[in-house]
Amino acid sequence: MLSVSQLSKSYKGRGWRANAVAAVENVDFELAKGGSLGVVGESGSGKSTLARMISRLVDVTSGRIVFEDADISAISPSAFVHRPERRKIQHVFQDTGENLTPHLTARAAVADPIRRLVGITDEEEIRAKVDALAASVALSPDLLGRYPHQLSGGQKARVGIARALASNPDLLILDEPTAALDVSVQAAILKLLHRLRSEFGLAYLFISHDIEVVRLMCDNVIIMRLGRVVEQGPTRQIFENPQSDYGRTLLAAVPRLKAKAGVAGEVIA
Amino acid sequence: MLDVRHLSINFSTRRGTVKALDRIDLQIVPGEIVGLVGESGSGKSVLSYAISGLLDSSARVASGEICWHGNVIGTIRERRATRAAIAQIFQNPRASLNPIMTIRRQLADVAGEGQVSALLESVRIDPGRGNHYPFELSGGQCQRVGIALALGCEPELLIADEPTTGLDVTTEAAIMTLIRDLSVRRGMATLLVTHNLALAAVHCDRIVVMHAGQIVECAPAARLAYTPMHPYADQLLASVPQHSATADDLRTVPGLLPDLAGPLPPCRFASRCSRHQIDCDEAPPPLVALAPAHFVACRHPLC
Amino acid sequence: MQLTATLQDGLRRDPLTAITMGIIGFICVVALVGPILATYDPLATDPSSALRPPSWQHLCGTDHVGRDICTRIIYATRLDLFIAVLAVTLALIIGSLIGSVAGFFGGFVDRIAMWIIDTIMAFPLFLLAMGIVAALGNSLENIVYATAIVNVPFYARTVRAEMKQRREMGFVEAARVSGNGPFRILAVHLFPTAVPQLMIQVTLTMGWAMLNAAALSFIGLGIRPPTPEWGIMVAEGASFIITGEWWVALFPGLTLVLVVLSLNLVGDGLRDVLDARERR
Repeated sequence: MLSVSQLSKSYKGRGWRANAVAAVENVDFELAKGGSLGVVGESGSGKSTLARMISRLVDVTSGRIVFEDADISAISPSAFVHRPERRKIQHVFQDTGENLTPHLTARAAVADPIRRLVGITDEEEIRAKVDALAASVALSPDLLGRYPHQLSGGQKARVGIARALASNPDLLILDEPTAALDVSVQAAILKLLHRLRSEFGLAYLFISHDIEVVRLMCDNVIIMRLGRVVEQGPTRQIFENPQSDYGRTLLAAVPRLKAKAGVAGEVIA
Repeated sequence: MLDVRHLSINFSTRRGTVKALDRIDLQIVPGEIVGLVGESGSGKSVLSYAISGLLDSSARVASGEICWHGNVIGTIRERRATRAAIAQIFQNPRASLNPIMTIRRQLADVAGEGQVSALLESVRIDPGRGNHYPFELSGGQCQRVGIALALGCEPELLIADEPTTGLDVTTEAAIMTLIRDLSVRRGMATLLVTHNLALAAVHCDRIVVMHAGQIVECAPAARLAYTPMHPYADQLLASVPQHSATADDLRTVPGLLPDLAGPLPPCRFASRCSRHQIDCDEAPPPLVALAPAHFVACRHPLC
Repeated sequence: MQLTATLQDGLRRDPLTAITMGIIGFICVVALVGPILATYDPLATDPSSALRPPSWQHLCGTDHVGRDICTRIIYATRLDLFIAVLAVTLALIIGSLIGSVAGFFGGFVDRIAMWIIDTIMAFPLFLLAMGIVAALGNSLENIVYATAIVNVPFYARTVRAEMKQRREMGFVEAARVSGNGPFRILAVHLFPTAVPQLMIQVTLTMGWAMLNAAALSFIGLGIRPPTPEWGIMVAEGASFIITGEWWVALFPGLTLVLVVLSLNLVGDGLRDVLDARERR
């Protein structure tokens, strides 16, 4: 369904600094319909830029993105808004406090893509659709009339997901959807995302710095560092036997709850 | 060394009185690393600020006290004389540094010009970088400068408030190892405030779990990781991704945090607890030792 | 909406702002219904009762041709308020348009827009207003246009700054992904976020706009006597101060000061309330 080859993005150097900055370099991967691919990397790895290129929010410097047999990499972000593919590729944003327009209610936020992408104009129909979407993300209907600053982190995350599902997409790009949430709220959102994937037959491109989250959510993983793909393959394989040095370092650095002997377990008097 | 006795703190706000802390008992002895774990709204930050004396004027101590080497100290902003031995590092490393002063100058302010190079070396920053400004340093390096600033006071207790949130996991490992090493070498006690259970489990000797302003469990790190006894601690552990094989195995904590400004039951986890029974509503559950050094505040703990 | 709730709350805490808002409200009421209640005809001359000091019959005294000053002040309120509101509204519309487009699209459009704005701001604004009125001719219309042009830069810059600050934020990208074209994003998602700052600018510059109109009339451009207007009244009364008839100039001047001061204080108070909310 999605095939990415030699995708690259570089930013021109500004002023007297002549060197261009390569944010993403020569990334290749494929994603099947209904599949899930995780992109793991630390800050500066280019994973967010990659996600935004595939969502067509950012120009591609070189390479191809083929979505359902159409090359969409050549289409500029401003032109892409009007293409039919726009409603098939949706994006759930990093959950900073600013993903929802501050002066629009949750209902208005979810209704926006219904109006713009699906083209429904009948108010009753829109209302019904918003209610149905709220139900599928387990968002209580009385929260729909609230403004973003009146919602908790978990509730805002659900609104963002409902908004992304509004146009009935085939591919959902999730960029750190749970990074700022408490661990128990994160668990709820991850379970929700997992259920929605099978319920709606979605494909996920899941970006995260948290390799454990990616392990739970994705069948395949690519590890990025400084714009390049360092390792990729099925999740289980990478976790059990990382081939690259960086992959090994990354996995070793994650603090393990069930600690290794002698590190923290001994009781101090 | 540090003895928090039955501390309750309220905040007077527009919405009413927010009962942020409820009868907190906590002791820290020299040299130990204690993890204070909780989610947002658990009161862990309020407690750490109370110990540092950084709470603002809307805070009221409703009961209890904080004792430092046997002397009672206030929790609201006051002169630092009694607190010279408590230092703090903060969550956003860039925000705690002055952006228009070189790091050398900032460290010299705290520890004196002569100590600057030694301090930078102890946090593994090349002393040659002393003339750089914070914006020229990475997040991890800024945090190390923050640690150096805290250490410059030669503290007996270091309060680390979410020191690695927002940092990469490899940087996080380096920072935490640094804090541990320094603790051991200087005989300094550390209070690590974090929402990351795994981090606390790896680096702390003892973990204190908080929920809605109450301490629910307090145990050595390994014991908590393997055998949590409070229902909340147990469910919190089960919601950590590491713990589960698949997404379906993930457990969530049901319900929502109670509104701290409204009426509160004696056990603030009651409305979310599957083990709740009538006697839970009668009086607050006392913190009892169910195993050596393992304290639980629950009338119906697991096992 | 959340804005009005914050405002109500902020006003409760800051009595000064509440009082000054009350004064403004009173002025508006005077402008609307004052002329109906006034007992004298503002234009009726009565040389026999010229230059009478304040008394129960004439609360503010009479001017040099016997007109009741109090009545004239009331009628002038309507005129001055009208000029200020009209000019500010015009400037608001034009400035917002320029500022939004410049701030959101950036690049070449931004440069041209800022070139225009900077050119206007390079002149001492009152001199520019004088020049415009002198060039276009003395009329009420031209005072409004001159005042409006001179105020456009403030609004344009405010809106431009707000747009620039927010155009990279998540909700703007989310709006793009939801299928909104650039103009719709600007109109629906971005521009309303600039409203709080604009409100502050409006109240702060409204007072200046009023002063501007009064000052232009004071020097003889714009409104002509016998139309009652605060600036003209102060001008007419200025020559009588030396001869001891202080009330002819004082009362209109005092009214002007009171209104402009109130507007400025309201603007400050509003800024304190709204900035605190944003900083939260």
